[in-house]
Amino acid sequence: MKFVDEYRDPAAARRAVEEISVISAGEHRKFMEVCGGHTHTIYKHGIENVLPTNIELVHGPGCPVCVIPMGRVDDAIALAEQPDVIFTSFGDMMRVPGSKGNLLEAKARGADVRMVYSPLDALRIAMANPERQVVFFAIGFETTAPSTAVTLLKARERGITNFSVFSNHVTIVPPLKAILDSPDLRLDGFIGPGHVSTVIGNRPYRFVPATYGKPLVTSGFEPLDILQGIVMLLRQLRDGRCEIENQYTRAVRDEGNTKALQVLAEVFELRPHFEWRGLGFISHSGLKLSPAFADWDAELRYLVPGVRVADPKACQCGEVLKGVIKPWECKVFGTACTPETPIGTCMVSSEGACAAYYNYGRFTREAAAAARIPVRSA
Amino acid sequence: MTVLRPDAAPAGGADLGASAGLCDDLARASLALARRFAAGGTLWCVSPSSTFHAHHVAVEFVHPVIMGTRALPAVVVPAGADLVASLRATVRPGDMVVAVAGAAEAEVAEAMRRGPAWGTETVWIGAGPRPADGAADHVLWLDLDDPLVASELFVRIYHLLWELTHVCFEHTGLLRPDTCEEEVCITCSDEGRTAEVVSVDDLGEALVRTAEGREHIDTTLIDPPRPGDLVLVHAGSAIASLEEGR
Amino acid sequence: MSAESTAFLYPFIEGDEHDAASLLADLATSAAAKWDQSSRLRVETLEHLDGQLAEVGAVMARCFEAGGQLFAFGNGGSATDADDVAQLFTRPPWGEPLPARSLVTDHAVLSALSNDVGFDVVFSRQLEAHGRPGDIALGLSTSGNSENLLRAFAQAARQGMRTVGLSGYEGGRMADCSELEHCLVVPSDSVHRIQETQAALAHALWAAVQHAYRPEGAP
Repeated sequence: MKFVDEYRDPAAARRAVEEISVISAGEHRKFMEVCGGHTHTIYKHGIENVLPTNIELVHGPGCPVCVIPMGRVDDAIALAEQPDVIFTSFGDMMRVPGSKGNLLEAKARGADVRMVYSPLDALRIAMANPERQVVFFAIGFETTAPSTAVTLLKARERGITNFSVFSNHVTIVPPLKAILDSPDLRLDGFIGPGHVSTVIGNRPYRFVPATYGKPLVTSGFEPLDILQGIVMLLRQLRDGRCEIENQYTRAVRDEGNTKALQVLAEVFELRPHFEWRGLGFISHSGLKLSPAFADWDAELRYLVPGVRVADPKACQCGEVLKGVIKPWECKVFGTACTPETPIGTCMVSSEGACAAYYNYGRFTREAAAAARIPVRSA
Repeated sequence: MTVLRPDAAPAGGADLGASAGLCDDLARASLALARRFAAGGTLWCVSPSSTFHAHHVAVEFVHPVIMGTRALPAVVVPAGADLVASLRATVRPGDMVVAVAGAAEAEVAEAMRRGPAWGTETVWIGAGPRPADGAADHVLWLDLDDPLVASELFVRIYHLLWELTHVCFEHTGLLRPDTCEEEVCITCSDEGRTAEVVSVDDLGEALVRTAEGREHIDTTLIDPPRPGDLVLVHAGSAIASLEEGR
Repeated sequence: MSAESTAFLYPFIEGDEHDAASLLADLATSAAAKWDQSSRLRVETLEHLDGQLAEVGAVMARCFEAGGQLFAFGNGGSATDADDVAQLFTRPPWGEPLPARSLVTDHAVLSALSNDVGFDVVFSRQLEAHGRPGDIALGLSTSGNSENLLRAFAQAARQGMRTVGLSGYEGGRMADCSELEHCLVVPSDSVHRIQETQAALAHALWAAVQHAYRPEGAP
């Protein structure tokens, strides 16, 4: 666990916490942080411990690893096991379980699976291994998709044909809307994603106040940023305002990153729908390669099984992702499902709500068991 | 602005009380410095408009007045130098920068803003109007307008910083780097690391410096950056410029 | 904490401490106590020396009115105080800029004298070169025992300069130095607390000079 001494500018953080107490005046307020990066900061720095108890933070669906359905992992493993394929992936994806194991196990069985830090690294591997086929397992939100797009533009420009992308890019706005449509969640406002917003800007969120009457404040990732985001949400509620505000002005412009948006439009197109772990199919929430990049599309180059696998029954990632239940309220949290042996994806990535809870000791296995009504099993 | 008038009794007592907050901040800053010193970091001392403060901070750490306390590396950034350029050339990840300066001193703000890219822990000591929130890792600030009384209390603040840092050295268990730092999925999370551009080429790539070292990144998604600009890096690409108006 | 029975004797050997919260609380408490201690020393010293400050301020003001200048010097942290004094007199936040110099800024001179003769003469030789009758030698020391300050005061006295010293503890050798006309002592045995109050004394002395200063032709 980290200590508050590692907050940047603790004096300013203290003032923000004081203002949160004063403005909220004991009234219960429930805000959702949409982005997994925020969830990570909140746990790592113990932000819930410094907030007054009437402020509740609900963790959103913003962890790209957590929302990948099992079937897509099975597809990735099938691609990795093709002869001559070098399969490249971000680190956290390697441990995400499909219905028959994960990528690390596939690697142990002999598949050439390599971890990369950026899609450009995958392209470099392709250039260094012209006799092999390199597939990149693309995941991530609007923040990461532009890097994949830039990589594909470079592949085309340099005529690199032994490279392809298995796109699982998703967008954050559709699930935000799905959550707002969900009848089982009552929220007072949203902490908007910071780095997604550097790309898409603040305008796409207009429907949140306009249609659903909820304020949204885009925030940075330092603990101080999140606290100030909460202050700005509370000020809006106090003043009877309901609008989009930007706390993260040092990086986010209202119009976003127009170059990145152009590149996205050139390389990707929307899928009619995409399956989200626990949330089911969400319309227009996934990105696939546009026809102009068909030659680099792994889903067209290979016969991807595309089997839909139901989420494990015991796992309640869906409810956790929607913020309906807290991680420790899941039946398998800390017992059958741990970071060492994850069942659900929320336990895999450090940005996942369950792993964050588990790793930072908010709830140990024992505490989780104690907090739960025991279920008698045969 | 209240200034100590010659015909008024020298200010003292009540208005010099340290807020509880300042003492907490001093404690936290001291532990942070002790950890960095223990790991081999150097303290760079900066005070562009009153260089004597920078010299005083440095001499406290290099030549401790109390027998048995270890000499620690602290260096003055010379007056008149281009502060940002001097620091850029000399600081290493793990170092510290302490400034005694007003909030309006723009070059100090620039040096502090680069902390995440340079890997430096930053301490800003001052009085009067505060710098922007989050301007440094530790903002040790006095709510005081009198420049002379403030200057006297700065001495007190950095003396205490030195004393408390040495107290921390007696708690060796707390000085080790955080070993439970978990593996973060740095690319798929909505991560954005602050990087400073070292050089750019014509092909839309740049060599940048981050707290973890130097790396090549793609810059085609942003307007061509200039050397010295700060950018936000995600998955090998600069996704935003952190420079105003760009 | 380990269960070793000697742990309380040698806490610095403990390597398995990992909760910083109690240390941080101790540090903050210690900082607050030292802060208050420093504030008390500052107020008490300024009150106690109020009359002497006015007297010395007036003596120095007469020197400046007559065209004299101020030389400030000290070692270590006191050297930085000497720089502070020189900066304050020449570039004051208000009042009249007055001629003052620090004798610790010229590293060529300092290293030449130290190397060729010895560190004990670094200030006295500079005063010999620059000092004129009616100038002021202001030396700062926390111990009051610095040999190079004592030599400087002796040299200044020989040249007809006025001599002012800031000292700590019970004044040290400066208190007994016959060539030092005015010795302002901060009665403490902590180098840091002495230095903090000496900064305030130096500023108060400057304010007293400004208060007493009547340039020619002024009413």
